[in-house]
Amino acid sequence: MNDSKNMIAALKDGGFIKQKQKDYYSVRIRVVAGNITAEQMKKVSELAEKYGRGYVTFTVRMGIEIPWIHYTKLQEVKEEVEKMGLAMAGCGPRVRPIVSCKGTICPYGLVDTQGITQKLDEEFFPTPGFPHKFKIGISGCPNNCIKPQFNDLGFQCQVEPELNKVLCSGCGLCSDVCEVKAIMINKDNIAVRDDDKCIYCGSCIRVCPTDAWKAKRSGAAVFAGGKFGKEPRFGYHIADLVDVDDIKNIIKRTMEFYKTEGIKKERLIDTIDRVGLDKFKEKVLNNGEK
Amino acid sequence: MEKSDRKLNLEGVVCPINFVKVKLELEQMNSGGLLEVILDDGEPIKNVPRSVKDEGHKILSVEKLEGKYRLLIQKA
Repeated sequence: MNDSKNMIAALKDGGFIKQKQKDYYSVRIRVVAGNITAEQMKKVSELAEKYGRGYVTFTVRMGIEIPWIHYTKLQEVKEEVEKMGLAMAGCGPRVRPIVSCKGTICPYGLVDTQGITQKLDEEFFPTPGFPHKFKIGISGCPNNCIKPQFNDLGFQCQVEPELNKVLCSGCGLCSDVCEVKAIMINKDNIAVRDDDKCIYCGSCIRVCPTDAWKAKRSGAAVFAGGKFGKEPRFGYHIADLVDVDDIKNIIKRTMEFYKTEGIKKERLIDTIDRVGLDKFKEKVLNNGEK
Repeated sequence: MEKSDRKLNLEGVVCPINFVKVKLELEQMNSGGLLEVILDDGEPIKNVPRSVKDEGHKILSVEKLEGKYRLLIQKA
């Protein structure tokens, strides 16, 4: 019995996921930043037709799986995948494929999310050795299409606006479009922003007809400890406007924390709650962050 | 507001069709020409001015009306 459990775990680590149906497995193919080339798609299709049942499934984290692979074909499929220049995407207690929104091409995207994610994926996927799964998500703006708050580490890109008063015509468009009502037009007919309410989405910058609102600096909010499953938890909002270049350092330090302090099978948020959020922030953030 | 050369009422027109129509209208105008556009509140006013600016045109004025906006655009 133990042997069989170990075998299943080993298979999962390697990207083969047992199905409900006896003798069948799904094969998970690695996809980076949610993009796959047409060429790769053709190869995946070939595999699905040759070994599966002629269809593929997209996962919630933008991966691809080929279902209905018979267990007698697993080794062969693995070799074919590698021969085709594709890679397997494991499950288990390791870094999972990093999810990115389409901020690279989306008009609301504040940074090149897919470019950043590709670099992070190269560096961190599929680092093993954690107490449990480790999920990272990069969101290009506060619209949060990929729900960074439900990842162990979620980054939500932001932009801090600043006003050139000389250019401000007092038209009030920025105040109108601000969804958190952080901007008002004062008695001098100039826009004024409340930094406490501001969520750094950049709508004011985008809409300003005179370019009075400009981007002062961009960065990312950090959410730590999010998870879903049977007991969903929102990640702790631990920082704003962190330098985008610092994201990889925050990931590294969080991984260290999780590996050192974590107990097997607990998620990051359980570790944070047990050790203390302040201790976690100390270890993971530089001093002087908001 | 200055008198416009052309008018475009885009009430009820969703993104990105509204911007495409503005773009096409401007294409038919001379440089410096003025286009008056009525846009719905909500997504249209959040997106169209930015796209117009990205194309190099100027937004001379913005007037808030009931549930909509009147823009005066000057073609680059």
